[in-house]
Amino acid sequence: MGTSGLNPDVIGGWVAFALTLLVFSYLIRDNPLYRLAVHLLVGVAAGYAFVVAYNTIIMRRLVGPLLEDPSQNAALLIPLLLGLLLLSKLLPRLGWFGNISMAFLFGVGAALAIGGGLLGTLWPQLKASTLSVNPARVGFLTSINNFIIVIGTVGSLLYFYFTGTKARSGIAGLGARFLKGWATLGRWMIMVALGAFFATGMIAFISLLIARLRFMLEVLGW
Amino acid sequence: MIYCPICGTANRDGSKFCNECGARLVPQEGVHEKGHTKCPMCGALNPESNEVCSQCGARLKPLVSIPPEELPLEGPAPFIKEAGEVKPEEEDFLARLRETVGEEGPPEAEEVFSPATPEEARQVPVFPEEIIKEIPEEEIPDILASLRAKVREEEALFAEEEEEAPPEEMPRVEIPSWVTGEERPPEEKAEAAPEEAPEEEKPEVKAPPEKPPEVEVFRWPEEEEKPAFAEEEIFKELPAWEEIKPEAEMPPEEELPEWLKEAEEVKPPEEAPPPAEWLKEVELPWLEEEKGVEAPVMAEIPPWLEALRPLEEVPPAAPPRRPIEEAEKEEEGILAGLKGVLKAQGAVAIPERPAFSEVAEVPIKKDLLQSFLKLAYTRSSPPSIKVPSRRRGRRRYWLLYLVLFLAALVPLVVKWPPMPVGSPPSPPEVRDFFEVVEGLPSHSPVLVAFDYEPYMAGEMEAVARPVLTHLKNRGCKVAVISLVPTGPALAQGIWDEIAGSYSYGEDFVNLGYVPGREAGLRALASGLGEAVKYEYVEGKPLDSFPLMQGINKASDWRLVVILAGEPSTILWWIEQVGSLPGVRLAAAVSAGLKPYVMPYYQSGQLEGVIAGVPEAAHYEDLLGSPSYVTSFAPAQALAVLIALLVILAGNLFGGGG
Repeated sequence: MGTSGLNPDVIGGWVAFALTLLVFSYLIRDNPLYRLAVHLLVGVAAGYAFVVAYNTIIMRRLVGPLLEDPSQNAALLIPLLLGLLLLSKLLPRLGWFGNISMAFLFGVGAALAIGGGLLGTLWPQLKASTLSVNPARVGFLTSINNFIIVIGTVGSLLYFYFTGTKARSGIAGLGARFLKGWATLGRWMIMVALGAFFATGMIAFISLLIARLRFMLEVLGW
Repeated sequence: MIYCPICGTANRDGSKFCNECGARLVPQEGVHEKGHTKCPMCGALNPESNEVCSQCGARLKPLVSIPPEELPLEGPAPFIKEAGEVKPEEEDFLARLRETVGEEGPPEAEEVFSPATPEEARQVPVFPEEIIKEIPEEEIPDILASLRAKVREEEALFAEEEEEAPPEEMPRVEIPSWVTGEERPPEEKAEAAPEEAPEEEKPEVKAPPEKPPEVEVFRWPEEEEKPAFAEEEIFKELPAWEEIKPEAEMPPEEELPEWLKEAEEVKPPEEAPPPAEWLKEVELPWLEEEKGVEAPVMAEIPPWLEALRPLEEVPPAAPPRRPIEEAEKEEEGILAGLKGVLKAQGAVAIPERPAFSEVAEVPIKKDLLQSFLKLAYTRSSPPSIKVPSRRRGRRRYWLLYLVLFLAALVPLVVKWPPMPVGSPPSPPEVRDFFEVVEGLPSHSPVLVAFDYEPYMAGEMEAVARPVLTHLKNRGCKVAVISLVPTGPALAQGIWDEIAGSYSYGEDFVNLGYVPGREAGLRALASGLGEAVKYEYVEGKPLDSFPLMQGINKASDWRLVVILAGEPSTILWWIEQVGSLPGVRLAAAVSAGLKPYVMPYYQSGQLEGVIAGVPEAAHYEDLLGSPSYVTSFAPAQALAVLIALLVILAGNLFGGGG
């Protein structure tokens, strides 16, 4: 992107450059310029989302078909009615009408989330945790990797297992100490996982910083 | 609603008592109901013949009630009449006491029960004369008439007594000497009647003989529920002392009769009287055991319990007191020249906290806790914590910002050559992603989901570019879709930049925004027409585009690529679309999502993963055309290295500040 000419892209580039500097001013301290940039971002995002939803959803998929062929698209009156009931939330005395739509939304969303969680996450992950640690079958390195995965998974679960025996001697005491040690190992696994979350998040934000600096250099014609 | 007359609380209809204060809300019903007697305590109905309540055991009839037929209609009260005739069935101690007192002859009834002095007579509650006179004679009820008649009789009696004999002191009642403590009770009496011995030893013996015994007087709840016998007879039955002496008004001490004063001076014997013979015969086992025990023996306390005993508080030792002669002489001030003057400092100084004595060999953690407590007590000043100044701390932050900023900026400014990212082997998930795309046949329909917000575009564009480039190079027909409203515009911009010239509708189509999150994705997976009917740019029906021919559900796409910047969106795709059979998913996500998506890659639910700019650079290297993302690599590597060093230095030398 160059700086020659006064086309909309160039003007937009300079506006973006200025807004980026306003956001960077937060490094000094919170200030009105930074607030201006943040409010602009929120306002533009909300306005853009409304325009998209209005054009692609309300007009194209709801109002348009109803106006074109009401008899064929009579079923669309149901979502239209539910949507209008949501507007009753603006009036405190009639707000309970909106609960019908909210109940429908939350009920369908919860059912889909539970079903998807069971079939898409819980069961596949359980299957994936049943790993072979036999080197002759999966190879030495893979067996070591699988062993660490199994130990770490079970240890992480044991860390959140808060009940147990108070016995300090005998087989029960030995078992309790063993489980406690395993749970300690699981805690270290959790700490490593949280460290990985932090590290990858930091990489992501450094990438964002580099992308923004690169954009500014391009605006400046570097 | 019934409102409580006491506290005003509203109670439900039919309530008998207030829910708040317990006060009765309805008037109490009559005690007698049609041949039944209602218990004043629990309210249960009992037959009239019952003396006690069959439910709670409360007495229904007074103990001393005398049948009306036995009451004389005229004449003195029966108690006065029969004062000297102790009946054998009279079972209270008053009878025995009267018998004891009456050894020298029963006292005269008039002397005992008639008011002795004019002062006592004046204590009779009398209505004012003017009030009584104002009431016509015929309107006066019978009760008041009988009262008035009785008062007149007594006044006449007092007048006669004053005329006949001058007022004397209260006649002294002979009290046996053993009652006054001068003499022990006659043992022969206890021997003669052992069952009465405990009764005679009771201190109630000191009560005056005139005072009636503790008679349980039945109190009727309401006036109209009184028993059927005549009220006049009741008043006649009452002894004189009860009529003229209200209990609340005690006579002053000087008015007390001599016998009462002597009775007050009676003190209990210092030694308990010897037990009766019949009591001596009773052998109590615990008494036998106590004979051999001289002193209590301390039980053995287990060590753990002994360890929990709190440390004894040792008061600070008082300084030795020096005699005044040896004390220093005050040299200054107004007290100069005096010895033994208290120091001013000692008067205003805060006394030291008591120290705790040392307990040896306490086997548990109590020592540690006590040492902490002692430390807290004895520490004179709080520990000094070095708090860096605000300016200095801010300077450190500025230094950190500057270093990171320069590490990201300098490689871009000086245009460092791309680092050889291909030298280390590419991660397997990146290679798998590449292999999946590489294995797609030409003209394969591929769905790409742009599920990231504009603020993530800086990183996600770097991730999306090599993937879209690879798909274009493979000749795949790409359709883009998004779960966020801004996604379609971002996808359109990137594809326009990458593809250059292309045939919209044949090589590429923008399906736009799908609302409903999980529900929208589920509809998209089961039937494309349910979720998307019109494309994004021109708003035409999907059927009008050649690319969309034969595409009805999610499994019709050869590959679904998810470009996600948030963990929730990647989970929606995996759970709602990836769980259906025949759907192949691959994810190119932000670097921060790698811990989220790797378990799904390892479980086989994702066929390939690209996480962040570093892995996108690997993907570009696999493509053999390093350009956009690879130029990020020097700045990315240097900034990450600097951040790593800062974190390491902070952990080693920061001291937690």
